[in-house]
Amino acid sequence: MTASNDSFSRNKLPVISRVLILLGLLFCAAPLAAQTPFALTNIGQKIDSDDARMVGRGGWGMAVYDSINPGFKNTAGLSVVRNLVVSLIGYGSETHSESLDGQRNVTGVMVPEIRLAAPVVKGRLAVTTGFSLDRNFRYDTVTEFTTDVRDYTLEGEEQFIRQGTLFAVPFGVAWEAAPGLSLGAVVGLVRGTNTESLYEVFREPVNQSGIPFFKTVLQVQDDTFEGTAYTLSALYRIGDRMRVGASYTPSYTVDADRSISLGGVSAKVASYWSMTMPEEYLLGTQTNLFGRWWLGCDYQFQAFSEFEGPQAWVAEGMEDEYTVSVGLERRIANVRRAGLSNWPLRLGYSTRQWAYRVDGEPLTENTLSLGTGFPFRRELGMLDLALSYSRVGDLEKNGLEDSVWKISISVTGLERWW
Amino acid sequence: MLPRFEKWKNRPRHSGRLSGLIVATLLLSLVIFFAACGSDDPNAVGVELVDAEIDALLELLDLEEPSEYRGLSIKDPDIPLLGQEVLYLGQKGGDASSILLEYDLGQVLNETITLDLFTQENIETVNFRLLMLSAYDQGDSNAQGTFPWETWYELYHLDDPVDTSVFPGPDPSIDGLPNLNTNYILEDANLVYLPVPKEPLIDWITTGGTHTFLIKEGDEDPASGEGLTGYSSMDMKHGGTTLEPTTIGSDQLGPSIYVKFTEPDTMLIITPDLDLSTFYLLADAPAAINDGFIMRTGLRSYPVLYFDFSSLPDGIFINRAALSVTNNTDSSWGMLESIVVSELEREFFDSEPDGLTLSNLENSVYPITGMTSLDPSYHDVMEFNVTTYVQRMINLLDEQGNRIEKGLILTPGEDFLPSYNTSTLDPDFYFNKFNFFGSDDPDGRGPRLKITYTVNEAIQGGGK
Repeated sequence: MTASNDSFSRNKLPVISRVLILLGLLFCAAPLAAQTPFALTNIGQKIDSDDARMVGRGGWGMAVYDSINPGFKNTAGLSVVRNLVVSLIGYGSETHSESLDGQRNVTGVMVPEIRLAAPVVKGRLAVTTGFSLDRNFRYDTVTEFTTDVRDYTLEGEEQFIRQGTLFAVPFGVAWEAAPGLSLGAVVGLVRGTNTESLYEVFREPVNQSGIPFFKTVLQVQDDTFEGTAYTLSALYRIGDRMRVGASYTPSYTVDADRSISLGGVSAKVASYWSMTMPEEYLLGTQTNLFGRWWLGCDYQFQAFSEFEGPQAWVAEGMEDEYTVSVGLERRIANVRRAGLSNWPLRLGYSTRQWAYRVDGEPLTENTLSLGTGFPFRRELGMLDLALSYSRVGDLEKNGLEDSVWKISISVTGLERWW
Repeated sequence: MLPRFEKWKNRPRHSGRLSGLIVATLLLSLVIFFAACGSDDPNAVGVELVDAEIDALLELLDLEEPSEYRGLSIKDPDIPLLGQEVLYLGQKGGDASSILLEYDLGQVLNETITLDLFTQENIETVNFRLLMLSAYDQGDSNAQGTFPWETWYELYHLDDPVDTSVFPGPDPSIDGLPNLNTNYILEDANLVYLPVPKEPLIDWITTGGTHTFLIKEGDEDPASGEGLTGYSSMDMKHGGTTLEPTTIGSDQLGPSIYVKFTEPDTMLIITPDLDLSTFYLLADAPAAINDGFIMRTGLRSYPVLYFDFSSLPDGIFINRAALSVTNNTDSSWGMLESIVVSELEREFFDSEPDGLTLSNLENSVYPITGMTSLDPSYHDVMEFNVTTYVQRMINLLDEQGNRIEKGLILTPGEDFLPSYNTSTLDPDFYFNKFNFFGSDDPDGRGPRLKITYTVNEAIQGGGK
């Protein structure tokens, strides 16, 4: 018995250590996240917190009802879980941006979501929590300048850095209210920051010690966000071949504390403002076409045309944000000696209209994706992979255009795996 | 070996399943791959979405005249005029000084030096000897004149002792007194011997007691050249660094009376009990900034300037503020010197003369910037970067929200300003003078504060 326990410890500890190291690395790497220059303004870039399984098939996941590889997009679907579930989603991306001012490649990694679900009554009632990114503001620019001041010709650069996120810490419950019908409710603590820093660096002229004559200007605007969102969701199973899911998030207010400071100046300005996030609808379905093949689609809509917030953002022109996702999935199989035919296959397409205009024109994002996955032993979770390619914006219409290659990985582990 | 092999052979198989190790490895590889992939440095892509423009950033303001000014005479109680290491003689640019000496001749006689030695026949020579500082004897461009300048040394024996507390002040009266020096000899470039007739010396020794002398620059024809030259005083401590190498080792650095006897063949050296520079002419610092201002060492006079910042908005960022002053190289003179610009507390500026001491100054200044090795006769336009000072003037508010204004004081490298104190010689050693142009200078060379600043419209109205 003692020997068995020792053996268990030896086998278990290294796995946990590896996972912890992995988590640590992902968190450390998260600030390096690549972003698009479109995130430089307004409410920022919407971050998909879909797991790699969903990403691979275009993003649909509102109708997922799976106890081995549960999806967190629709909380109602978590009522099926029978084990403690931990889901970690990460992606690495390379973004090629092109504008009339040049080109830039940016790589980075991000962990948009970590979620946990625990059954209260196995297969009937579960609770969930975690961390989920909603918006990201990160991007930076540098421009050189030359200007004449007094008797000097000043040379330097202007650096603008926007960084921050809007995220939610959800606390949810999922309940199978009736055979085939699951309901979910989530209270999301919306938090975040957005820091916009503007550096004016005057490199020339310098004194004999090499110190610039003119001091660098640093203007910083800090916003700290706080709000609460509520989401109701449902999932309905029509036989074994079709499922329908939906969620509704009423409009909610996000309060922001703003401080503006100028480096070296003791005076700071604190102010308060708020923004009203429009109500959001998600609707999705999936149906079994034949054999292991499933077809699904999701629709997300948030009426940002009714957004209330900073006047500068509204003046830029808000648009209703919507996302349409459609895709196919061949589910995993466990046929002995079937080889690659057991593998799950996924492919999909999605299109999104962003919440705001750029250069006076709506901004659209189109994504093609494909993916696969690998089960853990004894069906205690999945490792899913997806590769996607997106084009964001249009050089002629928006003055900017992005091409984004993204590798998404998600790990869903059930309690015994851990 | 066999049991181990059997164990390995019969190990649990997980064909088609991934172990945690593989999962971790895959994810780790992804992280490392993307973390290692270099991103391009930020550039102008996306800049059209940034609301910032350099052109609108920098505002200019020139404060062309100080709102307040005062030339402060700073005293160092530890080194009064009587204790200074250098004695000054001559005149230059409105300043002039003689040398006052006092000897206790009653202490000269002893068992060896007896009164019968002091006869016309037994005395070969009598000389007053001055030791000129090396900075003045080589015709250095920093010296007060062009070497060799013509200087007449006059020596007077005063009838009565002099109250030294009146100096700097007018020389004691020499009306009716004879000039005892009939000639002067400049020997070895820095030794000045003033020959004196023997008879008076015999009288002084016979009389005993304290005898007071005044060495004064003469105005015979041709008149003495312009120059204020320095000589070692009895309080000289820096001898080796400021005097000719030939004098190093001499224990008689102050003005002394040298008496050469025939029998015995010996030299009697009589050292003074007191020596000082009279500075019978000491130009006051200009009363108004319109007429200029001075920074003087030796007898310290430091200018303080206040500027009115009320035209600067609140909450601004000072990119650069430069105090520009122009030194009149035609009228300034002296050795290489540092000039330090410091913030000065208002309390010191308003102090009565008794309060203007070096130790009080030390506690009232906050150094901002400075320059070293400035040549009074060469460096004209000087710009001091006082950006941090102006920023503080914007930031500092009293309890009522009003700005706390401090002045700018120009000083040499005092001990309490170590960054600019490049010499072991304190500013009371050399008599240097920087004459700066005032606000009324027709060529606009008066003091001015040139400010370049950034306004953030959101930050106005002081601290919140």
